[in-house]
Amino acid sequence: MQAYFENRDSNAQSGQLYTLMMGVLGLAYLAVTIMIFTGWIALGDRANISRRDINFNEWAVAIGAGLLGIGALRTAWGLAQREKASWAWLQWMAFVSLLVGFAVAMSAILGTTQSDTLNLERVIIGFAGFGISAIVYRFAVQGSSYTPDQRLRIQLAESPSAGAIIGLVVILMGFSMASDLFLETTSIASILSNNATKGIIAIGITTLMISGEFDLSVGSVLGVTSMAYMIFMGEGFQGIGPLSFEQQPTVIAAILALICACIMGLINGILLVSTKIPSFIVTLGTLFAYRAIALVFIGGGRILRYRDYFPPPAEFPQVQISRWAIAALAITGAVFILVTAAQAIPQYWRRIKKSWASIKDREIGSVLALGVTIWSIMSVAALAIVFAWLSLVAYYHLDRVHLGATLGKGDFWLAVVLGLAGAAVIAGINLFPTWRKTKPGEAYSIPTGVTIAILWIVVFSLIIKVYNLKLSLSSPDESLPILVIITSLAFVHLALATFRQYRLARQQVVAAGEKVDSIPMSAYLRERGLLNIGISVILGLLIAFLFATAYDLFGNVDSPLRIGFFDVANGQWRFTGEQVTRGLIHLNIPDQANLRNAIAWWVILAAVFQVILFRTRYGNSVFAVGGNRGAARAQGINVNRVKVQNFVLCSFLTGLAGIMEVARNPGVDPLKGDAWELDVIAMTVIGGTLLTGGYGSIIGTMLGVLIFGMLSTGLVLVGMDSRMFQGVIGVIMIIAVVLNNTVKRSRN
Amino acid sequence: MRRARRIAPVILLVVGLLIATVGASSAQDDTDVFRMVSHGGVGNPFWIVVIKGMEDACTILDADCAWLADPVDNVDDMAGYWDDALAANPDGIGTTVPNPEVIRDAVGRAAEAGIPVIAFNTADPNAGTDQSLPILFYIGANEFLGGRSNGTRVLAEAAADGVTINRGVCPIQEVGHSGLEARCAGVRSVFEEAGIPLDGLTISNDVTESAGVLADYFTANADTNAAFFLGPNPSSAFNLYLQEAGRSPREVYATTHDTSSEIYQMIKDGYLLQAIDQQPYLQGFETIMWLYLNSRYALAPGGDILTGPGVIDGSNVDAIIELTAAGYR
Amino acid sequence: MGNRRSNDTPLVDMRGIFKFFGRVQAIRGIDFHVDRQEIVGLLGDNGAGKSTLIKTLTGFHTPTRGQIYFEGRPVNIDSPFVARELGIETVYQDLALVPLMSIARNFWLGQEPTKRFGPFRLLDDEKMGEEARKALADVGITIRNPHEEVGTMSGGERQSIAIGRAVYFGKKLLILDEPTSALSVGETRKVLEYTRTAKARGMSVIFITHNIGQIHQIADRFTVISHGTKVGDFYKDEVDEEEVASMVMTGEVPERLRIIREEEMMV
Repeated sequence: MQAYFENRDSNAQSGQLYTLMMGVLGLAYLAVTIMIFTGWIALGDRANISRRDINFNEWAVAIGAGLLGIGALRTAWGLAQREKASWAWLQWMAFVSLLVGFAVAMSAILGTTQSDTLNLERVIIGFAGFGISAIVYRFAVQGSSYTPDQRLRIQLAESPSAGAIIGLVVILMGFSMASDLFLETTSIASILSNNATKGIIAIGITTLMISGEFDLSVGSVLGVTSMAYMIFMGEGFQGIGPLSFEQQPTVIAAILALICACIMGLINGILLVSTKIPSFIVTLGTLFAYRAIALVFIGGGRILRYRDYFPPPAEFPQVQISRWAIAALAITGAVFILVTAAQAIPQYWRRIKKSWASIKDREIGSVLALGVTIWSIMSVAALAIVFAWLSLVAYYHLDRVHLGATLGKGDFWLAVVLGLAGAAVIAGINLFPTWRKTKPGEAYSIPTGVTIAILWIVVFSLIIKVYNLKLSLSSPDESLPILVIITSLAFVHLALATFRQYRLARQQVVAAGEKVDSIPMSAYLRERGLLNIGISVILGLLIAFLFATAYDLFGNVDSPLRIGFFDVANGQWRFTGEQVTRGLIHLNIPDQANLRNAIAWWVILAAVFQVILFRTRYGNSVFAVGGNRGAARAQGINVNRVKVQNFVLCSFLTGLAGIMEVARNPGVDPLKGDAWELDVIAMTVIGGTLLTGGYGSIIGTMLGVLIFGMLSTGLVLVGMDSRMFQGVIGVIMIIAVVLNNTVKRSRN
Repeated sequence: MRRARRIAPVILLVVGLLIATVGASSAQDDTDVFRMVSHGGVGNPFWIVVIKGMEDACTILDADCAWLADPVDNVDDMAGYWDDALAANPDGIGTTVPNPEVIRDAVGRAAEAGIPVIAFNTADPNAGTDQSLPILFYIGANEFLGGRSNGTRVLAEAAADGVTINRGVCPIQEVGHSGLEARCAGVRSVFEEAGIPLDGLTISNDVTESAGVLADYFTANADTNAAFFLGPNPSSAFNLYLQEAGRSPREVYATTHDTSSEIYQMIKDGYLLQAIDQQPYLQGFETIMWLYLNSRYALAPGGDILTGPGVIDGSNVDAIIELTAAGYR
Repeated sequence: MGNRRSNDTPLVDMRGIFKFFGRVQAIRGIDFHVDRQEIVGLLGDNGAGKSTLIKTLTGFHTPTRGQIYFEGRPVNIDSPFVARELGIETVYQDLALVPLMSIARNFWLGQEPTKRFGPFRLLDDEKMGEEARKALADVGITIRNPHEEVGTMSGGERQSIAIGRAVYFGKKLLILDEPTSALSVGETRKVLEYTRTAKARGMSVIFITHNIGQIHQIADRFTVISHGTKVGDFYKDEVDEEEVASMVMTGEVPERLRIIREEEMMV
């Protein structure tokens, strides 16, 4: 095969064979995508959904098949061009197809338990795909130093949470086979909602455990904080002198309760560093001490209920935000964007002029350069439009999705323009990670991206107008063709931009005289590509939401925006039945599904702490303190301060969890949070964090939380005696730790 | 410095002796000394009413009383608290008997010393057999009868609505607690007579956690339409589940034991048919009174004294709320 | 000052240092100095007081009596942070690096380069890796991958990185505490080489060991300590290996050297 790329004719046959196979594969995948959109392939539950709609399963498969198809065609093209990089691509495509084929066959066989007839075609197609891919893969990996599956295994071994990943997959498969109910929205909602608050505490415990310490008192801190929050809200506090205060508005009460939590953390930390007693003993002591505070000093052991303080005609606590404040925020954002764009226009203009000049000079490749520029303009704009559309769907449904605030509908087109502008900026920022100037090796600067995006919004609006295409909220089904085009363009561009960056990075490494294999593709993708896409989607939604809201606000300037505090902290996401049967993506969320806002907070906090731990000086010192106290100290890190800070952080997060628990159930008893510390520590340990410190990850802990939740829900669903739960969790924890250790040892 | 070191133990010794003498002298004078040992304490609102009953009785009798229990419900620690009670050389001891084996040895010693012992709240499950503890009698509710009352009420109400009970569930928040198991057994006896299955379910005293378990249970067993809760926190968990799942009254016929403001509200809203009240104030008050009567004049009633089942439902809930505010229910 | 050959102010000058732990007199009036760009071998049997002396210099102990001068100024080193601020870097045998962290992260520990991300400052991982690789290459240490965990490396490689780090951050005094005791012959040679590099770059080095053979080739001067007192300071050309070894063992200055000293005093 090596000879093929070196353009020696002797081996051309096999190369051409692979090219052909990749081409056929690519077309087959694309055919699947098209067949789903035309309704030839039906997936999932179609009972309540009209034929013209595409449900969530079909979306997932269609997008996946589309991407694979494009990938396979690109590989075929690369092979035809004798491009050396396509060799690795071939391996990957074969490897993925092998997995896909197996999955298709298995899903058809396993699916038979639910529907009566075995879907023979699917089984045959699946196994055929599996077999052919396996043969291709077998020959394609000959002579390469790392094959894709080896690379996956290495990636897994390098992850602190290998055991948790394996455990998660096994438990997920086990329970979903044992009970049809396990993958229902209601069950998933239950798993997430019931463990999100514990997950938030587990983030703190993970940070603390990485620094080599341990906190047993979190359960008691949770109890004290929730009791304190409730009593500050309901009756105030009778302390000594200036420490006494009347009942407080909810936000102040929450802040005061959080301060209490931080003080408890501070006491833990100071006790630890001043007495040098192991944290196990210190926090065991404070576990009892803080529980006594909750039992005796706050409320005298009563159950404190919000409804007892404020009987039913009164509302749950509301926070009022002036509409002017939000409008001002939106205007600031708009000004910022305009200024940035204005700065960028000259730069962008130079670029076009340069391309144009070189075209006039008939330079070879210059046409291509202009083409690439225009292509990027289109792709960024496409992304922007997708964001805008998504945000507008959310906006349109705001009056049915009760998240505290109830907003009216605004004017469609103005919202489109505002939303597009906001989303475009975000798309631009994240595609092109330099702020001021382009470094060599990066595509374009952010200002260029922004200008591109804004220009394209104008162009695209014109196209819509001229051809009378419909991108309409009231009939999302009709906007389908446009959206499909836009989405695929956007993702292709993202993929290309990411690979381009990867190639450049590789070239730099090669230039530095390193072996190319030292930067695994998957690691690079994980760091850049997924991050870009993830951040773009989240921030794009947020900003577009802001703009849409801002527009709405101008119509209702006088009345302040009222947001339910409990709804924000841990409100239930309510979906009305009407919405389920319409709209583009059919997330079939039944009314009894208990999805709560704590899930969102959990994910946000986990992301923040992942960044703090792995991307900041503070995080680095946390790892150093846990990994080798002496070395950290010798390098000038204040070990004690880091530890105390970690204890405070951990208690602060526990305090947040406490307030969320009150928001879910506004009635706390003094035993609230009893024995939670053990659950939380089990979650963290399952997630691969070392009890001895220096090693661990937030992602791992999140997996641990999910494993814990799946077990507790799954055991009830399969009808196993729930007394077994504790025992099972214990066994799973030990297995997870053993797995983690085995994987780690196999790496060294 | 060195002098201070030498003096310190002497001072400690003197202080210790002083404390011991004061303790001894207080025990020697005329007041009666009573101790009450329990498996639960100030952490659970239920016990606060029992403790109030005890304190009121002791104020009337001018007796020296103490409540010995773990603040968090804990059966195993009772042996230690019994030792503390015996060390005070009391005139009488009241105890709960969630697990007779934990306190068998200590109760034996009390009997040898001639100290009268009365069981309150939770009866000796072996009473009347040769395994029974040397206890005079029992003051408290009959948990089994309470369970039966709940079971019967549910079947009656369902029949009145023309609804068939397919399946019931009895979630238990402290596994192995004999009183709670007896409540479930009461329900089970009624259901067995009617030929309806009754599931067991382990939950905890944590409201949100238990609400999650209940949600999972009702997902897995959608046909269950009767539920029997055994205390305030499980009832709160049920209430939270009902809100979160958006279910309406009488979709699940439910009852509970004991009281709390939330239980009253749930009865008013129709989510609970009734609550079995064991009148905890009586358990504290009467135990002290009978210990006093027995230790002074060797008086005893003709058998166990039942403080329950008292039924709270829509008809009397308003009157009960007023008494609760005063701390008697 | 005895037989000092340099007339500059010494980099470090410890005068009349006493250190008592309760009734144990660990150090009894030691004078110890290090000149600029000098490699001093601090020798002594186990328990002679080497570590205690060095720990008073690095701020882990404060001397019971005595004064430390750094670059001629009297200083009060009461914590490791002060020593670090002064430019004293200590490479301990076990405490040098964090095994579960990457080379780059270890290299920059405590002074990581960051880049701005809006209002936040995030670690610049690329720069950390690249600069660490360059810096170590400058000292003559080649590493495979700066993002590799230190835990997978050999003892010698770890010592090298710690030394490279001290050199890169422009420290004035490098203290090596028994750096070669757990190393193979080849690794030991490398560590000695890096020590020379450090000197060539203007650092002074205190090399603590009880194995005279290893450092005889690179040290400029030996200070021998025995039972909490100083036996003597000897330049390399004054003594041979066996004499130093016997001093470490017996704590006695050999006849020959004593005569030379007395002659010097007379002059």
